[in-house]
Amino acid sequence: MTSVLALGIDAKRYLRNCNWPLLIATVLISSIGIVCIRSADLHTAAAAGEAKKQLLYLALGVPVMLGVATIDYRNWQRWAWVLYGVTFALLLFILRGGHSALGAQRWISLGPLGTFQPSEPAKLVAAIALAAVFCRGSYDRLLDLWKPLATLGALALLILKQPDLGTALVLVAILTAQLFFALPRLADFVIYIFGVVIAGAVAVGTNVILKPFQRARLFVFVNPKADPQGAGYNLNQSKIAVGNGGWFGRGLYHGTQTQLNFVPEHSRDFIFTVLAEEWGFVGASVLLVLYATLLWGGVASMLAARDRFGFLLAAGIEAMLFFHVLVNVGMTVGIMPITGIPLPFMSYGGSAMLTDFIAVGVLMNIYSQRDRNVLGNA
Amino acid sequence: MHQRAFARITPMRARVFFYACAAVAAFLTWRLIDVQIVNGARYARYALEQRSDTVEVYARRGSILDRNGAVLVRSLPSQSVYAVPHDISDPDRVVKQLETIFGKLDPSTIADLHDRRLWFVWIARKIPHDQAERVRALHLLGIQLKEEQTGLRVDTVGTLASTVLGFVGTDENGLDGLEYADDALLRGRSGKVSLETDEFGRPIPLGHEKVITPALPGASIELTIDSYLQFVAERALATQMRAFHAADGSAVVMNPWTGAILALANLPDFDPNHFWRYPPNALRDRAVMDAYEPGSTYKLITAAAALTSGKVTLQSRFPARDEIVVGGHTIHNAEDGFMAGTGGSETMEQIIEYSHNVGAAEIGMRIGARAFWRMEQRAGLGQPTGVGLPGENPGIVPPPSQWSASSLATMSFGQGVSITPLALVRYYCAIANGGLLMQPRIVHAIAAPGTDTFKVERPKVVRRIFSPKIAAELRRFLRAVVVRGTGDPTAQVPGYQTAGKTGTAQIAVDGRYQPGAYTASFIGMIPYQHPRFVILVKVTRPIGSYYGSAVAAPAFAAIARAAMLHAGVLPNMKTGDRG
Repeated sequence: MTSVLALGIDAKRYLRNCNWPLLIATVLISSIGIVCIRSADLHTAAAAGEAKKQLLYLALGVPVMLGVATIDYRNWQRWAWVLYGVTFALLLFILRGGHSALGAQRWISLGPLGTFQPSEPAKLVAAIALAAVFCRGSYDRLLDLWKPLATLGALALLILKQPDLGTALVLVAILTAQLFFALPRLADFVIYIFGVVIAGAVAVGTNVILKPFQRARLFVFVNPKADPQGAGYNLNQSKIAVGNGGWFGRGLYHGTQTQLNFVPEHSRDFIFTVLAEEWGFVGASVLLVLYATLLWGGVASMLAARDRFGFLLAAGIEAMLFFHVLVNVGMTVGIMPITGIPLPFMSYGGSAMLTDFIAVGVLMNIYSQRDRNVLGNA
Repeated sequence: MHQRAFARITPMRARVFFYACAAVAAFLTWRLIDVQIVNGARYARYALEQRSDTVEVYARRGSILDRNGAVLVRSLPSQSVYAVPHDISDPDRVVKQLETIFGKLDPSTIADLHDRRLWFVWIARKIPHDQAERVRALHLLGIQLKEEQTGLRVDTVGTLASTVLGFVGTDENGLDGLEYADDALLRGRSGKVSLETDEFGRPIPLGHEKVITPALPGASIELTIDSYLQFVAERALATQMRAFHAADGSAVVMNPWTGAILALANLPDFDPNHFWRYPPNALRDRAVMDAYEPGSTYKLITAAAALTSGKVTLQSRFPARDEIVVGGHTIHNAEDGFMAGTGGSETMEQIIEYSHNVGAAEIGMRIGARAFWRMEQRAGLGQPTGVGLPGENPGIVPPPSQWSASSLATMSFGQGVSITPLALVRYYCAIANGGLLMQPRIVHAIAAPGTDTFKVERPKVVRRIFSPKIAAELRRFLRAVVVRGTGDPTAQVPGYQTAGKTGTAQIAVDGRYQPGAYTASFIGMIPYQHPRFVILVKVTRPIGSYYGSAVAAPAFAAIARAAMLHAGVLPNMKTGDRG
């Protein structure tokens, strides 16, 4: 009887400290994603069965998320370097023996379980490791920046080498968000931003950092009509598909541009075009509101953090999710270059899906310890 | 740890962070509104344009019918078979199965079927429906059927009238004969339709379809040809050609009152459904394309010129000689093997009757070049008849300014000129109908495009070339040929009265007459007083005999008899010839 009672109390506490926006948003977004993947794969033989697999990832991801939510996030700080080391090793490994697809090496084959893409968990690991780095030292001096930069740079270079520009940019976004909160002096942050802009200019202007095709995609973003059948094809097609949706969309499974395969990769990077074309502005707005809910839940976790590490980790995860949504949706409507970043909980892919669920689980745990909030505004 | 400093600055930065995120989110939303709502219609139009493809829709080609409405040539929907060798796992089995339908396959096709790198190989173009169904029933992986835009042209009567009908290419483009001459009528006008297509341009089922310009089906045409008479003419011509091992021949049946060509036979001929299997020689419409030296049948020009000129009457007599020398050129009689039996002199009727070259030359020289040339001109000889069949040969009928000293004499019996069988038939039609030169016609009626409502073309008189009286006299000459002269008895038809003229001419090659090479011909009409049919039979290079009376006249008689029976005129043994 007492155990049942104890469980009841625990359940009550759990319900009270649960970050409901996160839970509800992730489950709803994932469900919408599965319907969109089903639609995307109706007429693409190569992608048949992706919706079912994604459903499996969802069924697996929610318990994992809830499980991670019960693990004290401070454990991640303790294990940060182990996680970092393993991730680094995996990324190094796939550069040697990885599974290549579409001209890039990003996967590790897991046999019957499919493939595993280490660059996805690498984002979360980077957020953890950086948060841990920022918890050591004061960062009063600009030169202290070398530690977080080196931590991130090692991972980012390996990922760039694959080449996977999008994921590398996600790492930069995580770093930027955490720096914004971690640096005591705002001037240092401005200097950092300045440095990023210069690095970006070098990347776009020369072949030193980026491969020619990546640069081409960046240029195309500026002027998509320059090469409508070549590099600008994806951008134009996704814009046409999104525009074709109008207010209420073409109806589920009736989006002509996606169903007829004009839009490429539409179960993965361009899943948003499927939604926008078939469900219209109304459907797309609902999805964006759900993302806003998700991010709001993330901010709540940030502000509820009991210590600096928790806050910075939450900020990193928040930045990671926000950057994904921004760049992915942005590229389909033509305000972001096409860099191959998945839409969280929507795009097909187990590695990204599970990483996102774990990340949200971490956010939930941070929130659940809000009684000990360091900022005192929980 | 600088927890206190952290706690102090963080809420402020968090607020900045939040506003930054909100601003970016607002920007994103604005872009979404811009693309989906503000410019949604424009992108939707792009989308439609992109998945739309304008395709040419071919018009259905018109049919060709005979004068009784029987279908000679028509177009059927067709399909083609192609292979995707990449998908074929057992090419040997596929080849074996296909060969049960198409017969032996091309060795290069078989080789291609074994090449798994290939993605497209034609097996058979434009196959009929039943064959397509049999291919479908095989359910062979990697063998596909494709609906063809243009139809399969089917000549339902095989070789019948093939040299007149002509043939079409793979895309139903008329290449020869009427198919070529009336291609614009038959073809119609192809239309344009925009279809919804996928990224590979394949039409999608139930897609939006918009007709930009509708296809206008081709007009069907009804010919003046009577299939039965055509068949009879071809059979009679073939019989005589076989009997005399002739190289080629033509037979023409015309209605003298309308100029309608009822039959136009040329041999050798071909099957338009498989025209590529025949030599070019078999494809010629000889009666229209080939001019020949007419020989004695041309004497009726001389006679008509003589009667019209008034310088010669029916009673005028000409010295009966076996040969004369004109301009250093000796003219012999007896080309047709019939000697004059009248002694000292003969009339024009007798000259025609026994086909005396010397007599004809004497008539020509008596009336003079002007009168003779005038009749040639009026008869439209040396000019195309404008029948509307491709490649019409105008013939060579030189004007007097180009004549030599002996030209008038030799032309008077049909040497030194060349005309087509069709032009000669037209002239004899004028004799038959009382002096009117008709426009020869092959198209009887044209249907309004896409309908079966035919508008009949009216007969056209070109001009009167001599009076009905002269025409009647000329007919009497021709009757005499059949009753007593060179046409007796081979040109007679029991129970009917025929009239006509034999023609036997040497064939000249490069300006020299070839020994033993003759054109044997007979042109006549039935019944002679009010002819319904004018019939020419011409046989080239017969072996064994070369006289028009022996080689061509029997075919004339056979066609004439069948034509009369076909027209419902029964033989009358009291008034008709004995045969």
